[in-house]
Amino acid sequence: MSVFALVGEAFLSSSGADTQNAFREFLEASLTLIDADVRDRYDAMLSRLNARAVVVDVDGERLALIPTARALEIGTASAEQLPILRTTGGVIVALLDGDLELGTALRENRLRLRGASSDLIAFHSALMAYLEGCVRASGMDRLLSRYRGAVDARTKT
Amino acid sequence: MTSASTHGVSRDAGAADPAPSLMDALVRSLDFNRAPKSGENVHGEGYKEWLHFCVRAGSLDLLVNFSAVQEGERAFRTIVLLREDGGRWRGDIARIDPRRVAMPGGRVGLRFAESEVRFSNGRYNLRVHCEALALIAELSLVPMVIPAQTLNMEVRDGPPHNWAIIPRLCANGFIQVGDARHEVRDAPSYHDHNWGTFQWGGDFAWEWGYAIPDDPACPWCVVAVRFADRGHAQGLAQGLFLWKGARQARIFRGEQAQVSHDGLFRGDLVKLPPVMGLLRPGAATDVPARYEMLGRDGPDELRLRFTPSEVAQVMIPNDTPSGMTIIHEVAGRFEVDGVVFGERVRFGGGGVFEFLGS
Repeated sequence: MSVFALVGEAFLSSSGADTQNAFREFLEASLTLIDADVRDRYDAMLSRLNARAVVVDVDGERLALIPTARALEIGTASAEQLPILRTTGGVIVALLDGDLELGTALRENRLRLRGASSDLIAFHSALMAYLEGCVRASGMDRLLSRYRGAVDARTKT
Repeated sequence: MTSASTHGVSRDAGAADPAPSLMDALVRSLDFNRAPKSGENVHGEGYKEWLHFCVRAGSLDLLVNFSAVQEGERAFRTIVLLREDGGRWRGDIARIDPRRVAMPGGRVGLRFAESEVRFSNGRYNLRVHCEALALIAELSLVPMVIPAQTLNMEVRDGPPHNWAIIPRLCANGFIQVGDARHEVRDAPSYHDHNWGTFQWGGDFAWEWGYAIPDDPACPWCVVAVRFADRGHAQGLAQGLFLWKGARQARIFRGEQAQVSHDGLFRGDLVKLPPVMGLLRPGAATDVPARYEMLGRDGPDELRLRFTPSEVAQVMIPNDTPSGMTIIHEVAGRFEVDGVVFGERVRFGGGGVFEFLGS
């Protein structure tokens, strides 16, 4: 039984114009779906991070991703914590839609990665597990559609 | 390879076509759903079953695949690929809510949301609705050859794979893409039905393709299939199948068939779902630039050559702990040439081959 009815619908019906926390909401909802539908990918993500907490910055939303034994918890990062990844929602959407390749985004500084090589390798490896989970989890297309709408709304404002 | 109904060689290929009622019965006996509709895990984790249709309608190539996969719960997906005017593939993979699926065990046909396959009076009625491509197709497909099935194809590290096939159908109806409505008249088409329990990421790969002549009056058609290890280096089973009219005319199998790959395809790759391009960016692929299967047995010889022109990668996260499996849907041109039972076989056309890789 998919938890999409419980989580996805809640995400979709949440205040439609809250673009300030759009990435956090998308990330939290997607992790919940992966946890429910593709637990082995969720576990792979945790093990590949290997207890590393990382910070990502998307459109100024600075999120701390904190792996615990069973879950990837998401908190608000402090200003002092340097992000391992910094980009925009527009780039995220372009990557997810296949309109932009990761290498191109890096070369054009549309997505920046910064950190120790071992951290970057672990982060990339965990990201791959996350993406595999996204493809397998039910309801992800609707979450993406919602996130795409939030990014579009932010772009227009 | 153990084959139930494709053993041996038919020398009566010129015999009268079977009556429609017999064709109807044959389809019902081979192309029925093996999995029950219920979500019960009766076949075990990793059970996969799919129905595959390809229609070549003038300037349009349409590929539709309905799949049911046991991955925890049963997951249903519709894959639609479309190619217009010899251009690039466009496509979509839609996960279907199980509450909107009907796939009754023991019956021919299914319904996946607004798309469906029905079979009645000896013909398939295929309706495809793909919102992402703004595509609606309603097609009636009449089998032109007697269906066949190949059971228990060896997969190195798992249970065998099974395959029912109707390599030549005639499609009529329409395909609407956006505002453009394309009438489909007597379009050469292909259908197969696959089932088995295996893990994506296992030590296996397949290559198959069909060759239906552009000329509808040409009686011949061919299917090539090869199962191999994941590196395509060691063949496990292979066959080159020739039909004349409605009947199977010749089979080259095992050592009678030789496969060769020449070069590597270089060109843009369409990746589905697009997000998977993040995991496997770039244009590297192990699809050959030219593919050939040669069947030879005594005085009989049949050569199938295929030259890819457009490749779509359907990318699937492995069932095994990591990595992905890529199903390459490859449009291109083929040529068939040979002599079978003293009769010259020679025809060409456009076709879709499939190469499974990693």
